[in-house]
Amino acid sequence: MSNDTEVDMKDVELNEVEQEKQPMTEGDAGNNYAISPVTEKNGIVKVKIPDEESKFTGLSKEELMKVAGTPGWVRVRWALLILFWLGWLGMLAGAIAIIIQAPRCKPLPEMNWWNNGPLYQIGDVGAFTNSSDIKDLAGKVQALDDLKVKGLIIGPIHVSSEDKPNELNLIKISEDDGVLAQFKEVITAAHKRGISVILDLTPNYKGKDPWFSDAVNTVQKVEPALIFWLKQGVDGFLFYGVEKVAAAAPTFWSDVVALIHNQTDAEGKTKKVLIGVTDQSSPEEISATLNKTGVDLLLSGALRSKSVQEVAQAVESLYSTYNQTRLAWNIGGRIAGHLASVVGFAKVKLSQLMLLTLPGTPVFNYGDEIGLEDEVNKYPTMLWKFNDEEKQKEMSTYHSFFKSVSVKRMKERSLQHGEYLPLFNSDFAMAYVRSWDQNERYLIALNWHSNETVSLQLKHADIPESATVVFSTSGETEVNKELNLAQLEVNPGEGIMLKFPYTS
Amino acid sequence: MDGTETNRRNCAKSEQQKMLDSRGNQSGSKDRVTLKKEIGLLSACAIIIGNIIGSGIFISPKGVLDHAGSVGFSLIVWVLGGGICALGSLCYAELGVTIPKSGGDYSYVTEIFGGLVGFLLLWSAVLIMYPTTLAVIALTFSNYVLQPAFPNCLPPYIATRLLSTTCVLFLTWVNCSSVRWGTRIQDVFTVGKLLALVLIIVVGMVQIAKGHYDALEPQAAFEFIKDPSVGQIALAFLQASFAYSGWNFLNYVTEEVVEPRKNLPRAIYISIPLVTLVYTLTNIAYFSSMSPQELLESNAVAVTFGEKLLGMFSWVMPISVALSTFGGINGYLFTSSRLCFSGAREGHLPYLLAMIHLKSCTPIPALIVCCTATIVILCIGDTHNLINYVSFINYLSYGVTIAGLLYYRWKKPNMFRPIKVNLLVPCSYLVFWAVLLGFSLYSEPVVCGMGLVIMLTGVPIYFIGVQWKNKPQWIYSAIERVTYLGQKMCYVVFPQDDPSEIQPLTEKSEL
Repeated sequence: MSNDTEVDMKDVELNEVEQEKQPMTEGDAGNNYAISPVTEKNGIVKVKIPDEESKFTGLSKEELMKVAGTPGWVRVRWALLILFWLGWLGMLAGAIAIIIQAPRCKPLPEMNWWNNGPLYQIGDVGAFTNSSDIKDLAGKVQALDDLKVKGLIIGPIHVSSEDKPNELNLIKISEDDGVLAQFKEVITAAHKRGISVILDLTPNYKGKDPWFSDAVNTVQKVEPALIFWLKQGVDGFLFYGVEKVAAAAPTFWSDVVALIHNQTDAEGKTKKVLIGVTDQSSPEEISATLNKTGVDLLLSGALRSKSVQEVAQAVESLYSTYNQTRLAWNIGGRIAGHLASVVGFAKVKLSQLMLLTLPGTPVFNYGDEIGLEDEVNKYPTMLWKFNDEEKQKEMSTYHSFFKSVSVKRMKERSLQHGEYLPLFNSDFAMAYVRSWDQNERYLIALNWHSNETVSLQLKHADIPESATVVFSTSGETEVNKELNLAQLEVNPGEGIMLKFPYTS
Repeated sequence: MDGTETNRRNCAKSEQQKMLDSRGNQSGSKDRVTLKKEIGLLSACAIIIGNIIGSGIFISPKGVLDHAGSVGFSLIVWVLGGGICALGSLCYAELGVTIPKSGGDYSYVTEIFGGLVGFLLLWSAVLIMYPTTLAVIALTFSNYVLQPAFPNCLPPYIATRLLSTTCVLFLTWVNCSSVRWGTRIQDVFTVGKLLALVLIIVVGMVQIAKGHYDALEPQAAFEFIKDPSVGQIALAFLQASFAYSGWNFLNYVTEEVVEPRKNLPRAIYISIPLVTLVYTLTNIAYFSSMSPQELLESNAVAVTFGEKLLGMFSWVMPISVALSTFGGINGYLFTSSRLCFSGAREGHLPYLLAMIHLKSCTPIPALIVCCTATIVILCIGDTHNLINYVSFINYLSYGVTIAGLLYYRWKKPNMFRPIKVNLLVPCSYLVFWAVLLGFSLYSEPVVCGMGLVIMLTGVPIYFIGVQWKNKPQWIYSAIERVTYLGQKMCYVVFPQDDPSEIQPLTEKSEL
């Protein structure tokens, strides 16, 4: 009895689905022959049935039950089902095993906002914006965001007279630079783009000695000024001659450092940065200054040597001594001048590539992205639109190149915070690899010679035989081309970035 | 819901048989006609909402904001996207009741433009569109599932693919076993993703009440990150349309809707504004706690949102997204198998694919074909380009279908149309469609060209497989043997007309 009921239910289910065909037939009839007499409907319906019967539709229900319902076929289907589940479980077990065996992710290093992208120094706001109104700087923020700039170093804009400490007012903005409300608009605009604002508060920026002749008295004016500017929303401070003030007034200077870093810990706010600038260029001096002054980043002359070998050795020395979150790389600066004037217009892209790929924070002067050169002073007028003149065309390509590499740096962990592996250096060439965990690796080769092609034989356990070109500072090396690393030709004045995948 | 329908039909059938024995044919046929309509207004709304809301809302906000260029304008895109979705739905509603066949836009295009055009849509959908969509959703699922184990790097490639495959296989088996279980999974996961969205919206509103709405102030909201252009706006709408996709799925069950003339438009007027509201509020919630910059930098908006605001409950978001994608896979398997079913019934695909299991009434061969195609796509691996082809073909099919509506209005003006929408509706949709398609062709000619090439590879297949009537006998024999073997292996049979149905059919026609 129960078996019969089951069979009946199966019949019912099957017939239920069969009924799905009715609406289709009915719909056709209704729409096409709505006016036709009933007899014609019947006729049409009857005619359709034979056509359907002549179609091949495989085994009928009864035939299927008779043939496929036999024990043999039932066993076949059960076997197939068991095989399916075994395969499924096998795949699942395989996936789980692979997951368990796979190496864990390397923990991301603790980064500060000033480690996430280039910093951009604007010593003369008017020269940068082509305007006498500091508020216009707010309108330039988007252009800097496009370059993936993460911090603006503005100023100095405070009141100060050359070598006259009595006229110093660290809290007041000089008339040439506008009023406080305008400056706050700049801060708001920058923060909206995720860009922090660092204030250059070097006391005697117009005179000879950054801290005047009496550093002790001068440094005592800094603390109340810091408190004032922090309230306005400034995210950090930069001082020139930090090694001098730290030596002359160590107690007061350590108070300054503590004040800034305590701001960092208070209320979970954005961390504040303290940047120092020194003229020193040897790794030993720079290390000593970093240790003594307590600054978060130190701008120096480490990369200004004429010998690439010395540059490479300086980088390697500092990298092996400090976590890269404490390293900053710069060539030009407010006082040192612009990149194009320091290294020559032809080597701007080469320098851009190096600064953006070394381990640490790259720091640029305004206009370095377009190869702006110094004029009678160190504050040339910024160029915002390029004409068809040959030099300005070149500047436009510099800008595009800078942007491309900066965007790449932001997207790739190997370039953002990866390890630094020096491969080669000589008087005119250097090569190194940046790598992180299982991410893509990047190899950078730089030839500073103006006339000679360099042939590098790069062999190392961690690098493959060939790699793919990502960027080239000259048009001579084709992007996406595979190059042999054991015989890597770098043209005069050329820099190449290549990539290769992680291999375990 | 389908499971419920099956149960009800079974009971109804039994009762009908009894009534036939005791009362006569007329009473029985009337009862049978009435009881076939089981999808009411609420069910119709649930189908639309459940199919639209999916993983898109967790992924698309980034794309929309990127192309729209500002917070305010991206919210406008979301609202207008819902409007365009409503226009499309209304057009499909008219088609659904004018051509009451299962299979959705494939059936309409076949009916209106003929077999070749219909076949090309079917070919693209079965070969590329559904398998690729399923593969992408499955990969999203496995990536989110593996995220806790690999928070800072990519999971192992093979593990991701294996997990995706096991997910697809499991859901294929579920759908093969029972129509009821397939739809139950759909219902459960629809509730899951709705709860996730409600959570996001509530938390977002709390944030706004606390005063965190910097990005939403009028002057800030309409500050453009990049200069807007028509091309960028078009791309923003494309991104939003991905999140809104699924509005046409109700047409797969149109013939089962109670009083379609009233309930279909009502379901659309209720469901799509509701989805639009939910989507817009979700985006407002995102912006209440994330700056546009943060949103653009996040690869998983909802997860970033969860990490920021939910604290110790931040795990809710990755799980919700994973569950949402799991439900999405199930939904696509369900509809793609029905499409195979419809195509085979039309003679455009092998008859084996139209066959259903003797006991469970599930289209096992169709499900197996869809599953196999998906696994092939997963093995190929390059899903990024395939997504582009899919988007183009998918969008193309919408326009062709709605163009068919206009064509029918012109060719068969006196056709019986229980639902008749104003001509402005399809015309507006087609204008927008043409603009988007034009910009797609302009900005991605290679991708669109590849999409068309893939579609057109179906032309020779159609003429060889479908149009060629006098094939050699050995081909027929081979087909017959393969079909028999498939039937025995899967225990499936072609749905048959029951001779006893003729009389009720006649009676219904009279009605």
